[in-house]
Amino acid sequence: MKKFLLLTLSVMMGFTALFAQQKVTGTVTSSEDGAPMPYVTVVVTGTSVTTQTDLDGKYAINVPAGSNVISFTFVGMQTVTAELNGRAIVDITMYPDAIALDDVIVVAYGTAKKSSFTGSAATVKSEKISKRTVSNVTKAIEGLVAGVITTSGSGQPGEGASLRIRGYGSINASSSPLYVVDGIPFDGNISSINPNDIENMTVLKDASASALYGARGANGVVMITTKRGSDGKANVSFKGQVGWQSRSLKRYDMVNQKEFVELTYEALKNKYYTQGGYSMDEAKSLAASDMGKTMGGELYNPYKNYSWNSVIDPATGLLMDDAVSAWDEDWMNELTNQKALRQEYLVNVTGGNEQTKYALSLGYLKDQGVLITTLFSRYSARVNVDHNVTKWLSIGLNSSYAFTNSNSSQYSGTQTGNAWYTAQFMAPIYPVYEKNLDGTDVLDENGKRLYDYGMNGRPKASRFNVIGDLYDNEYRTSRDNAGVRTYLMLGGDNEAMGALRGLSFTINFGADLVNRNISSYYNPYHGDGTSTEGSIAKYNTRTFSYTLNQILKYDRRFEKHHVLAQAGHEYYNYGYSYLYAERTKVYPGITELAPAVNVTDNNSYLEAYHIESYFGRLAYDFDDKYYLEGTWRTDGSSRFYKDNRWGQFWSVGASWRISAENFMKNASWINNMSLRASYGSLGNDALDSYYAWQSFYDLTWPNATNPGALVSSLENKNVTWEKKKSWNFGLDALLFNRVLNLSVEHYRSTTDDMLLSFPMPMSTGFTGYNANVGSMTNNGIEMTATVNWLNKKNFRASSTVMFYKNWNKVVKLTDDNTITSGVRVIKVGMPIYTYYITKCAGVDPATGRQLYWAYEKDEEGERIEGSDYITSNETQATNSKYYLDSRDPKFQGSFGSDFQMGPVDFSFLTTFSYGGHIYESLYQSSMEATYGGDTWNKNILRRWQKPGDVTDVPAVMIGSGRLTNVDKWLVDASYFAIKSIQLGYTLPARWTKKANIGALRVFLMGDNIAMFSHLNGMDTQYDFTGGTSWSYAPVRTFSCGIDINF
Amino acid sequence: MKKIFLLAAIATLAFTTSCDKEALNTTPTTAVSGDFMLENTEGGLMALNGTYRFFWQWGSTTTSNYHQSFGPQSYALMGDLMGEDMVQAASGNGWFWYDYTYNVKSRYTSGGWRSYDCWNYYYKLIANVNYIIAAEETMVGSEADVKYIMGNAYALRAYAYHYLAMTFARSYIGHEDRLCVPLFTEPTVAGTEGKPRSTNREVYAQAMADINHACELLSQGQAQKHITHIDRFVANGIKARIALTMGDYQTAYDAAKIAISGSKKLTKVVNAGYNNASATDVLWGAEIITAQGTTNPQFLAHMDIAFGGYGKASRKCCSAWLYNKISDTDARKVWWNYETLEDGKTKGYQQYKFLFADVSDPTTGADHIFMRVPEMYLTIAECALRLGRESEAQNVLNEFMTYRQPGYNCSSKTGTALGTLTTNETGSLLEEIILQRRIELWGEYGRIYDIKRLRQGFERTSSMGHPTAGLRQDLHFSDPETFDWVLTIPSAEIDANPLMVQNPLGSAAEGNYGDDPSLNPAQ
Repeated sequence: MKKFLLLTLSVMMGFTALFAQQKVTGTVTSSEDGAPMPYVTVVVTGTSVTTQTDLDGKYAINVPAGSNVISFTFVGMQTVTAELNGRAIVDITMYPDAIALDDVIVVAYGTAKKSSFTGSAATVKSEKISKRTVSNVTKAIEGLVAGVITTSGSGQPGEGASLRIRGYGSINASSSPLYVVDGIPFDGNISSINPNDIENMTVLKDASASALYGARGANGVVMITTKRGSDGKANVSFKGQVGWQSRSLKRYDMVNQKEFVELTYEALKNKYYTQGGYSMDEAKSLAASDMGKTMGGELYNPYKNYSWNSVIDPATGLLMDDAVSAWDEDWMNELTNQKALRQEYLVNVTGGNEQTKYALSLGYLKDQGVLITTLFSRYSARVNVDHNVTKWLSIGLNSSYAFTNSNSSQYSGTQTGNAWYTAQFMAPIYPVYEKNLDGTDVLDENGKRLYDYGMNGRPKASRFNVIGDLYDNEYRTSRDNAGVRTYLMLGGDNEAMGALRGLSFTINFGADLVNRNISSYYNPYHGDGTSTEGSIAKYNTRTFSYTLNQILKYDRRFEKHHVLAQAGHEYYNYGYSYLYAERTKVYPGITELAPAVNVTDNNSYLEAYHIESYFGRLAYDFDDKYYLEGTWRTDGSSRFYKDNRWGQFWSVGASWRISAENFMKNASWINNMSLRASYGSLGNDALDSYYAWQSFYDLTWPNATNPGALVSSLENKNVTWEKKKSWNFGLDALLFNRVLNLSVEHYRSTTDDMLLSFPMPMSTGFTGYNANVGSMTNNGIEMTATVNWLNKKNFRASSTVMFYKNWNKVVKLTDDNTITSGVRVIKVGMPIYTYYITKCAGVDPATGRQLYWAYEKDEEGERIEGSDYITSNETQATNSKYYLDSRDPKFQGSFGSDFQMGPVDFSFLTTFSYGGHIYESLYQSSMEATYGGDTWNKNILRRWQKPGDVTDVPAVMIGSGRLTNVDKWLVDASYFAIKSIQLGYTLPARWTKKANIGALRVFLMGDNIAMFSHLNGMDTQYDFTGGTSWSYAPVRTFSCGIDINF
Repeated sequence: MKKIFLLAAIATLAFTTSCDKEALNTTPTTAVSGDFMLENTEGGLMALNGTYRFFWQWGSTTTSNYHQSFGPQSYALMGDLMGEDMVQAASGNGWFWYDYTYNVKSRYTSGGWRSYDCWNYYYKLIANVNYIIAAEETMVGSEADVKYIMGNAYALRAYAYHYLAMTFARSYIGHEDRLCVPLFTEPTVAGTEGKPRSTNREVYAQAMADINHACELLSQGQAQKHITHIDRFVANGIKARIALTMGDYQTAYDAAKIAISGSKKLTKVVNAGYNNASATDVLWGAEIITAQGTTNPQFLAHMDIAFGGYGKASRKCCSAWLYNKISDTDARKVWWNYETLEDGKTKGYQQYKFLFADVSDPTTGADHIFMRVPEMYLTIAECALRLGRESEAQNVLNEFMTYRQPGYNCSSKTGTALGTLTTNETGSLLEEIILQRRIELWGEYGRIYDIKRLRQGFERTSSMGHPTAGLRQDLHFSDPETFDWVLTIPSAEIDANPLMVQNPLGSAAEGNYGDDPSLNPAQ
């Protein structure tokens, strides 16, 4: 190519005009990377005057009198014409030719040109992924694809986020998308994939795009393509990045020590006064005398100049003015690793020639968690090789191995050992470190402080110190992840094939193997291990899945016609084996079974799941203007009874490049525009059981030495595929001289035969059975706009904004119109997981009691409009639940920008969500203390204290017995988050050249920087249904790094 | 040529991939199909043994708070803690504390508390035995074995409905036609719909019919195949309990007589810790072998102070009132004593009745005990008295007490008068029989079930040893009509069953009685 250009250059030189009347100069740059373009042909229109740009993209040309237009041409780029109008300097940006511009995107069983694609897909390229500091690539998707919502994901290093594409696909069957890695469905652990190995991720959103994954395509597909080699010189690169982490979610605002003590006194007093029938004076003295017992004795009284029963001034109910606290220790601070370090190093080698292309990557990651002792490390290696054996035979192998190791906490939810639960709600009077009765630290023989395990009367988490236990216990998961993707292709679009040109036959085989070892150790001295003198458990699981398919394909272009036909067969096999053993009475510190004394438990089992499929595709397009495509697939799934096993899935799609029509030629502000429409049907079989239709006796119920079995499930032979039919309409446009790139999509989908564990009254002995129960719709719009508002040689700027909105509605339920579960309801005509909950009506100013709304019901048990009244009767209140909002946001989106100023680049990404509510159970438990020693959220300070107080927070109590499921705990879910900021500097080439380095860039980046929501501490993205839990807070990372290309 | 070989090889590879139809028929390795489990007595016994494992397996009936849910013995402890004789000195880790402080009714929306736990437990048991009973006509095997299995199944169903009624409805006596619980006697299938609550009369009639049938089926002298199983004697013990609750004293008397006619006898041994289902006086219990044993989530872990943990953090103590009623010469006085605390102080009447055989190994020597011979003696005494045979009642009680207290004689006591409150003493013989019952069955029967059946009220005071949180003077313990001790129905049932009526959340019904049959939507 270069040779050809040089030749052209030298020939052209000969014709350079010798006489000139106006000299015009300028620089030509490429729109793709802003780099100067050498060898661009510059011609004065209507003359033979021509020149070329030099190596720096500069040109100088003498324009004869009477000429006003010059044109710029370059292979693969659109020709640019410029009117001079007297200008002496004309700088030009050249854009790739429309067709050349066309991205090739990865689709089901192949690739497609973006313009010919009739479905809906969005691609996230490696540049975008590399702007996020993530150990698990699922956390990098947020805000980059319209229509995809994500959870924040646990802050445990290596853990991922969950994704939902275009609303809820299902109720009980999985709503998670299918992950496909290099063409084969992936059953490994996403955390084993080094995000740096990913070339791009394509999210297939509609039926046309994902129908070829029929069985498992209903929730959309995430196609991950790893980096492959290319022609040319070997490219060696190194990347190193070091970062420091902290929690990105603010903490809940909790009361301080003084407030806590006063509130406890008040709570005790209220109990005696309102429930005990005592006078106020009696209640006060009883409360004072109860303080010591409630708090756990004088040892835990930080105010050493008072005893518990005198620390409150009975006249004011406040702490004595001169009470002095001996300690104020913060559990959350103590369990936070203030120096959590994240290091990542990567070496990448790519290269190849026309016959063989290869890519190799080696990576190392060590990611320390913000919770002390937690850790994730990964050693990864990947090799991709493609080789053309002959003109009609090519083969390829893609293999990867990753060893991952993570240290985490074995606890969750309200387990006492769960640091996120216990430390969050540990009252501020309790010290982390053991104290003497005089308030000083207890020290060991080395002068070190000792953790307080609460053995001396602490009412909360006695025997536990969640910080000490993190050190003394262990929960370690290591995984060997191996993956292989291999293909063998005969034929192809090659002249050597003669009449069979375009015909190919491909065999693909891909397998994922994960061997997982979990080691769980409880120390014998403290916490859960004390009663058994410690325990040690080992889990060994093996997941092995493979996919084998054979595809016959005909792909040929005849002049303006392009034809593609594809037919294939596929077999998918998934197997899981589980082995578990546990012993107690351990040898302290040895985390293996051998020295432990008592064999207490062991177990093993297997799971199997198979799918057999046949599929085909037909596509035709004409003149790069009109595109048609149809796909069909049938799947047989082992999850269903043989009569209902096979599902048929299909799609049709069309696309029209309207800008290529003659009648659009005059609209020069339109650079490209196309319209797309598709319709299709998809399936989902992913119930949580692999044996969904069968009735079982569970054999794990032996009675002493007699084998025993208990009924575990009900048979429903009718249970079958959940089906999703969906429409997609899309408009893509490139406008205003390529300044605005716009994509708008609208979809309407209906899920029928929704899979659900249909709730049964518990009195039948079962809580539900697997059934297809109804239908719901998801309609939505998605808009992505990118403005390339500056595109100068040394100053480029672009911004992307995304908006999306999904309307969910349940349209049909068999048998009944309502399925209630907890505070949420699935009801015809309403969004799924609408809150159905008792409504509070403030606090009775006279008594401090919680008031509720209640109403009269008609004969059907429905609310009579306008019959609402306020009551303190809890029975009536619980019988009068109201339908309130759901988690669904009114709209969501993201905004981000990229800038480049000379060697400096800068980018940021923010995300936002507006509307919807979260049922904040963590907030609830910190406003309604259940146990003495539970602390409160600061909002409790608004409580009712005396007759006449008007407030929304009732009198403070411990274990008040008030209704728990009320609308007070619904918190607005809107948020705004700064996801990432990156600043980079590329060293000038003249420096790096000397060091024999192609390019060197240093960068600073921040990830998960800030989250603004309606309640500090609340994780607005904990899940999709609007819940919260005591879980590992999401993590913020600030890091710096270096990228070197040799 | 090479090309052809290659093509052939590839084609072979491509088409050897299985299109095997069997590949899509998968089955698990932890379970077997329900269809053939009950075909013969071998499977029938397996299904039966599964339900007995369910009698003591912890953590299988709730979605959280597993450590206080381990079947009947946890409900017995709950029932005791709801009365006045057992003191829970502190909340400790919170287990049973909410039962003790009457703080569970409002938690019916949660899968972690008693409403859900008890309802789920008994109805799961019923569903399992309903399948077994449905196979009565078709089960292949010896007639004796079929009758044995069916006898067990009917007895279990009677047992479950009896306890459901005692937990979720007010007392049978005085509320015969009030709402109780729904009745299911057919096997559940996919789509079985909810039923309205039947009345106490209907539920007890079903329980009685079932237990009568069970007694008949087991009357052939089939030996107990395992200590957890119900034989003729245990079945009659269950029958005696049901009849006693119903006030059918003759039936209770007759059944209790049969229950003690087997090899199980009274014993003077009272200090063995009640941890062995094979002990002389145990009619019915669960043998728990080491491999199936556990640590914290079991009855004795909540009781035995020496084990540390729950039993130490929340001491189970005898009320001072009851303790002081026990004669110093009564052998049972060793069941309770002062506990010396770490700070040198003492705490009243820590229990030592229930102890691990070996506190260092909680996985063994921790059997569950469901029924003992003394209960039957006390039932016979009570029923004889109720039936007007006062001297027989005195004799039976005196006979029993020879195993407990040398020289005991109740012959001076007569009459059936009981106080409005359990602390309003009348000095009657019935009161004396009940007192011995309270002492003997402390911690193992569920005191609240007796309080309900006797239509008394009770009070808790600080001087009895109850902590302030346990006093609950705002509640209506003193009123036998109260709903305080009638558990709320879990919302998971109500949500899925439009015919369900909830019990009042408060102590007394406001505006209606909550269990009024006219509230039933089916009416």
